[in-house]
Amino acid sequence: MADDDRNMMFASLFRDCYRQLLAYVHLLVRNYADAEDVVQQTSMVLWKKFDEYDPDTSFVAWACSVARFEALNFLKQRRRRRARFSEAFQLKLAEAISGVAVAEVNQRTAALEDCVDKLPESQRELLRRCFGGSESVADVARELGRTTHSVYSSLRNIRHKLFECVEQSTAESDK
Amino acid sequence: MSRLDKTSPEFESLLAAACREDAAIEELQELERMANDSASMRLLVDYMQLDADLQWLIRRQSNVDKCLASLGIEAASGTPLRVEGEEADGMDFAADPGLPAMASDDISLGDDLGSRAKPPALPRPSLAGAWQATADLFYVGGPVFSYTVALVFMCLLLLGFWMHKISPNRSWYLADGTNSTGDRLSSDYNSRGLTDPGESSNDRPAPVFVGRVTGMAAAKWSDEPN
Repeated sequence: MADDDRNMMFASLFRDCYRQLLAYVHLLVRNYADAEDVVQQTSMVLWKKFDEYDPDTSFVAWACSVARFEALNFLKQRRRRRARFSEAFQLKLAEAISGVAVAEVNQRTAALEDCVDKLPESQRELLRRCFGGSESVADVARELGRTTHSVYSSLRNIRHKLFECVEQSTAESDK
Repeated sequence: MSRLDKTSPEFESLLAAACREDAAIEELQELERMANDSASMRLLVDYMQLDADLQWLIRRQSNVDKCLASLGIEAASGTPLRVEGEEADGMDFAADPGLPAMASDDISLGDDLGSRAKPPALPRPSLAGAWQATADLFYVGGPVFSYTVALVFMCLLLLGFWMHKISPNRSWYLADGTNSTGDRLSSDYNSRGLTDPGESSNDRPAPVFVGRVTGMAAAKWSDEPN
């Protein structure tokens, strides 16, 4: 395969699976900034080993298997003391994530963008504060004069509403 | 009714816990136990995908806001997270009573379908905003100010070098006055301690004066016997 074709193919496959990979790694490390770092590191490994990839198999599944090792190494190197899923469950998660079609993920993400726009400003502001900067939820809670638990509770309710909205939107567009 | 509504509150609270950095191992183990069929596993995957996508969207928008802020354009409080300026339609959500202004931490999940709030448009760049952005670049401590100071400093340095030329032959300057040809050269050169050709101090080889190409208006080379 010519170098240009190889580059194009890798770029296309990686771009398509980026968000699924990010979601998977996020499940393993449970911190978004860490997940981004791990996915970046994973991308380099995938690129180095791209010759080993069999185009007849799922790229997402292959990427997830590499990402899992990168995530575990990351947690070990950075000495992050976080609870983890069992190894068997991590593999089941990778299988489940790679079983979702890229088109479906893209459709849900587009719907999510619309749904976030429909949130009241107060809720969007809370999302911005919790997810948009480098502050932890505990820091945000302190600044708002609330308990961490109550902020987590609000985030959970926001997620619930967004999930409902996404389900509704995708169901309507499927009709 | 979404799949989340159909599931148990316990499962949903475990899903939310898995999004937290400080989730307990017991919570994850319980989640593993409950996600034992393909439907709940798929729900878990979709929920986690939503959480990751949500953070991705918010961060992307935060980066856009930072770019706008650097241009002096501040997004209004009601600015939608979407940058394309598309109008939202469909469901609206109730306000978040969990924020400080509200008394309770619970959020009403009821949708206020009757009062669709049109999201305010992104503020357009104004002349005042552009002027403010330009002024911000030039203020003391700003990037343009720093570059200007560095440029002036460099110019002064170059001007200093130009005014005080440094000869490549430093001994020409260092020679003492005893070997000088001050009586035969102009007074301008006496002070520089020129060494007479053929003569030398004991501890230093005799430098040969070959003259200078520039600045020699007062020298009369034709009168020199050597």
